[in-house]
Amino acid sequence: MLSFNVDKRGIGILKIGKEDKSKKGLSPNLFVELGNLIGEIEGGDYIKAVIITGEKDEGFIPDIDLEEFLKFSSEDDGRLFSLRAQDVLNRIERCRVPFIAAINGLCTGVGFEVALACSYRMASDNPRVAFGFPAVNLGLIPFAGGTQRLPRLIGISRALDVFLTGRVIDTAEALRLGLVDEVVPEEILLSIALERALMVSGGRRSKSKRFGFTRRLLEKNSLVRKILFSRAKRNLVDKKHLRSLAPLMILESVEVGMSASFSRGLHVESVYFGELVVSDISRQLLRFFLSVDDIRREFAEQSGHIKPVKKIVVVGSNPLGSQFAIVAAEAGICVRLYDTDYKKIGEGLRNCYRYFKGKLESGAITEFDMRRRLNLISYTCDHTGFRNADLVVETFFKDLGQREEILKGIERVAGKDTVLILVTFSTPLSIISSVLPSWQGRVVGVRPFLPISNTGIVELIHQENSPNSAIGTVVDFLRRTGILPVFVRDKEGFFATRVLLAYLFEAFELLGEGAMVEQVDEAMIEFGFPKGPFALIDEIGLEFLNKVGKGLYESLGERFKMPLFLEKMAMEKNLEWEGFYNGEGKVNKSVYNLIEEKIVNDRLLESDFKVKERLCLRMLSEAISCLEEGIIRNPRDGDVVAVLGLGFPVFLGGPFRYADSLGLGIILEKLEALSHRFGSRFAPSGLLKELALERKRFYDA
Amino acid sequence: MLRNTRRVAIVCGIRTPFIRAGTLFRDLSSLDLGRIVTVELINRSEVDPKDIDEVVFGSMVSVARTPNLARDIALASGIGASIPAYTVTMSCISGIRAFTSALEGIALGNRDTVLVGGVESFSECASSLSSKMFDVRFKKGSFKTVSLLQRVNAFFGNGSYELSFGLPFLLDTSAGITLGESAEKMARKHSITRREQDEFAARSHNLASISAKDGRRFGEEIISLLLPPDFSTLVCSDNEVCKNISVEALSKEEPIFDRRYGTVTFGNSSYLSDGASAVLLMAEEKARALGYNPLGYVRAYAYASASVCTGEKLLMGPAYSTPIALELAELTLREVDLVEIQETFAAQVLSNARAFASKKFAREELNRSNPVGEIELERLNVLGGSIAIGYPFGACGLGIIVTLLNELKRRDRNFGLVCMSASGGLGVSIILERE
Repeated sequence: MLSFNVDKRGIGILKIGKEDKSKKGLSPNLFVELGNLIGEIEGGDYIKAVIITGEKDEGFIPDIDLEEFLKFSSEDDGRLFSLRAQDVLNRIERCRVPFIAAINGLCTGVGFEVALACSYRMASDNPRVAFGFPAVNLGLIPFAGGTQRLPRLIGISRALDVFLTGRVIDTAEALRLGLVDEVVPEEILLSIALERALMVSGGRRSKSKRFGFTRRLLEKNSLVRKILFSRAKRNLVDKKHLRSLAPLMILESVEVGMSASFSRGLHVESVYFGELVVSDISRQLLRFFLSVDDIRREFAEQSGHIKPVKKIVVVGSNPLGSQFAIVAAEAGICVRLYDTDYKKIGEGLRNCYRYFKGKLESGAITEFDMRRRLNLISYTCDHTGFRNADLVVETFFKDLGQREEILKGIERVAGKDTVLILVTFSTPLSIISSVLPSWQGRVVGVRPFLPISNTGIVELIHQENSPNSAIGTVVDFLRRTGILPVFVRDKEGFFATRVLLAYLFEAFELLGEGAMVEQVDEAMIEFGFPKGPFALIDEIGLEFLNKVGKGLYESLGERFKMPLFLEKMAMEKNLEWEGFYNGEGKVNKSVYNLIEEKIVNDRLLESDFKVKERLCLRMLSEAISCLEEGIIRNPRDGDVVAVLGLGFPVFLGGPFRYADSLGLGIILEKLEALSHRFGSRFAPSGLLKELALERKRFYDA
Repeated sequence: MLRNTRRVAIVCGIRTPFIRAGTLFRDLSSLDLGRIVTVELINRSEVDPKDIDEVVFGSMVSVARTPNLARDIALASGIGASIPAYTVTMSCISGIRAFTSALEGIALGNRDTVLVGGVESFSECASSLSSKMFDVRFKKGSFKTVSLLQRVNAFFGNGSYELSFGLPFLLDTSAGITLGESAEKMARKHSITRREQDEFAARSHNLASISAKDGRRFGEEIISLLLPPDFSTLVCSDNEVCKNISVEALSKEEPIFDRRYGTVTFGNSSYLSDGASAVLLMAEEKARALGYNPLGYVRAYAYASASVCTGEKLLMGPAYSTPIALELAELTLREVDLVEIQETFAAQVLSNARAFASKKFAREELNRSNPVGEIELERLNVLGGSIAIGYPFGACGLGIIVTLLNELKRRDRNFGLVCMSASGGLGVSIILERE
C-alpha cells in the first residue's frame, strides 16, 4: 500500500495506493503501516522532508474500501479505528520532518484529511484535481481529524458548507479558500514540490497562507459562533432525504472542537464516527452505493470489440427525444433529430437549448462548452443523414401505427449495422418489434426514467435472441452518457412499471375505502418517498395509468384489476380532470365526489401506519414476484432500479433490503392476512414462502 | 478539359436561403452559417467525415474576424481535427476561388475528397453598430436619407460605412470608385439604357419568383433552418423573392448617383445578403466507387483580369475570362446550353453580354478576331439571379453552380457556363458538364 523512496538530497516521496487493482479502496491497515513508516522517518537522520503524492493518472490517495466499514461489528470498532487514524495524522502534523502534499488528482475523504495534516499543500492544474468530503452522503463523517483541521484552515462557515453539502471543490476555489497554497502546472508538480520541500526543510518554513483574516477573527468570538451554528442547524434540510444523523454530528464535532479544544473535538469525532458507521442507515447507504458501483463495474468490463457509438438518430423531437439528444450531446455524440414537421423539431431544439443554457447560467459549463454541445445536434424532416448512424432511438411511443410507418421508412435508409432502441414503458419488446421484421436482431428495448440526465438509470430489456453486438452497442452508448443499464426480462411492465402500478393502484383502493389524499401522500413522504402517490399520479397522468394498467391486467390478471375509483373516473365522460392537486398544491375536493356514499360511511379510516404498511407491502409483494419470474436478475438490480428510478427511500436500501430488515417471515404473515381481507393481489409468491420457511434472506450479508 | 489531370465530380451541393442582410440572419455569424451548411451537406451526401481530405471555404468580409474561418467551421461541424482547412478570399468571387483551389488539389491527385463552401454574413460585420442605425443601413433608402446618414457616419469615423447602404456603395479600392459608379460608367460605355436595365431587373425578379413558386428554386438545393434560440422561425426560402416587380414600378426608382443622367437604381442592382453554400467534390473514380451519381463535372475554367483598371472595366471580368475558358473547353458559346452571369447590376450583366457579342471589343480588348458570341435571353440566367435573390459574396458562386447543374438536369442538357465578376476587374468563367 505504501511506496516510499528517498532521494540523494534526503527528500522522501510517499505514495499511498490500493493493495491491488481489484480492491475498491484502501485497507484499514493503512494507518498501522503509516504509523510504522512515520516512526522510521522520525528515527532516521537523513530524511529532510516528505512529499506525499499519487501515481500519475490516478487520484491523490484512494479512499478506504467501504466494504471494510461494513465489517465493523460494534461502535468501539469504529471509534478505535478513528482514534488510530487521528493519531497517525497528528504525528504527521507534529513531525520534525515536514510533510508536503503534492495533489495530482482526486483528493477526497481520507486523502483530503492526510493533505490537511501536511504543513504545505500544492495542487496540479489538471482538471481532475478536486477536493471534498462526501462522507455525509453515506451517512458518515470524516474520521481522521478532518472535522477539526478544515475549519481551522478555512473558517467555520466555509468548512461547514464543505462537510454538509458533500460537494466537490475545484482547484480554483480551493486556492481562493486557502485549501491549497499554490497551483502548479501538472508537468512540473513534482519538481516544484521538491523545491518547496527543500525550502521548507531548510528552515524557510513558508507558513500556509491564512485567508479570510477578518472572518477568522469574527469566528473567534463565541457569540458569532453561536449564531453560525444555530443557523447551520436550521439549514440541515439539504440531506434530509437520507434520514441520517451525520449532518448534526458533523456540526457538533466542529462546534465542540472550536469552542473547547482540538483534542476534545477529535474525541467527539471518533465517538460519533463509531456510532454512525454501525448505524442501520449508514450501512444501507453504504451497501446501496456498493451495489451501484458493482453494476457499473459489470458493464465497464463489457467493452470488447464494439464499435464506439459516434452518431445517433433520435426519432421524435418530443421531450423524451430531446432528453436523449441532450445526454448524447453531453457525451460528445453527434445527434440527428428527426420529426415529421419543423414545428415539432423546433420544440425539441428549444428543450435542448434551454437545458444547456441552464447549465451555463449555473456555472456548470462554459459558453464554449454549450456551443460545442449544441453544435452536435442537427435536424431534418426527411431521411437524410441516417446511413452512418450507429443507433436509432425511437420515442414516438404513444402511437404504434405511426411508429411502424416511420421506422419502416428509416429502415430503408439506415446502415446494415445500425441498432434500434425502442423506448417502452410497459409493452413488451416482442410485441412492438413484431411489426418491424426488417429490424430483427438489431432491436433493443429501453425503459427510461425521466429526466434521463438526472436519474442516470434505465431498464435494458433483454430478449432471448438478441445478439451480443446489438446489446453491446447500446451498452456502449449508455456508458458514454453515464447511464446505468439494468437488465430486465421482456415481460409486460418489466420491473419498475409493475411495482409502480401496484403501488399506485393500491393508493386508489385506499382512496376508494375513504382515505384522504393528503393523508396518504404525507404518510408516504414520511416513509421516505420524495412525493406521495397522488402527486405522482398527477405527474404521470391518468391516461398513461389507464393504458398501462389495462396492459398489465391483460397479462397478469387479477393482481392488476382496475381499481373502482379509476374505472369511475374513466366512465365519467364529462369529468374535467385537473388532477388531485390544483395549481397551488391544494387537493381538489371534487375528487371525493366520485366515491360512493356507501364507502364513505363505511370508512375504514386506516391509520397512517396502516397506510404505509399496505402500500409498502403491495410494492414488496410485486417486487418479489418479479424476482421469482426472473424479470430482474437478482435482488440488487431490483433495489437499484427502485431507488434510482422510482424514488424508493435510499436509506432503506431498496425493497429487497427493506424486506430483509423487516424479516421475511413477518412479511409473509402480513401478506397472508391482507390477502384474506382484500383479495388475491396480496397473495404471497412461492419464492417468499420458500425463503421464509428456510429462514433465508434475499441478501446474504 | 484540364490537361493530364483527374476528372473532378461535383457530388452534392446545397445552400442556405439567401436572406437580405440585417433581417432574419442578423443573429447568425458566418461561423454559424458555415457550420449549418457543412453539417447538412455531410448528412445529405452521407459522406463519412473521416473520408474528407480537406475543407476549403471562401468568404469576403468574414475573413477579418478569425485567422482561418474554414478551420473554425470544420471543427464546429464535427470534422476531425486532423483534417486540414484553409480559407480563400478573392473579393466577390471568393467562393469560386475556393472551389477551383479545392478542385486543383483533387485534379492533381493530392486529394480525393474535398468539402468546399462559401459563406458571407454582412449582418455579422455590421453587428457592432447600434440597431437603429443598422436597420436604416440595410434598408432600401431613398437617396436623400442615404446621404445624410452617410455624412453622419463619416463624422463618427465609422470605418465600415463603405459597406453600408447596400451593394452599390461598396468601394473598389483598386480604382477608387464605388461599384455602383462603375456600373454607371459601364452602362454609358456600352450604351445600355435605363429601360433595358429595368427590363432585365424585372425579368430577374419574375423568373426567380416563378421558379420559387414551382419548386425549382427549392427542392434539393435549399435547406431549411430553424433560427436559434427560439427555433420557432423556419427559414426555407430566399426572403426577397416572390415579389411582383413590374418594369413600371422599377422605372419610378431614383438613380443613386446622378439624379439627372444616371441609370443605376436600387431596383436594378443586387443587394447585400447573408448566406452560405457548400459542395462536395470528389475524384470521379472515387465517386463512382462509392455509388454516387454526381451532379456534374468541371470541364474547364479560367480567371482573367482587365488589363486597365479604369472605372468602366471593374466588373467586366467575365468578358475576358470566358473566351479563355471556352477555348480550354474546346467549345463555342453556341454549344453551351445554359449561361449564368452573376448579377451585380443589370448594367453589368448587359455590358458583359454586349461585349461577348462585339467584334470591336474582341479586337481591341481581347486581341481576337472573333467575338465570343451572342447570348440569347432564353439561355441566360433562366431562374432569375442575384438582383432578385441577393448577393452573399462568398456563398453565391457555389449556389449558382448547383442551381445551374440542377436546371441542366431538368432540361436534360449538358453544358453550362458560369461567369462571375469581382471588383478590381477580375473575372472567372467555369464550363460545367453533366456527363
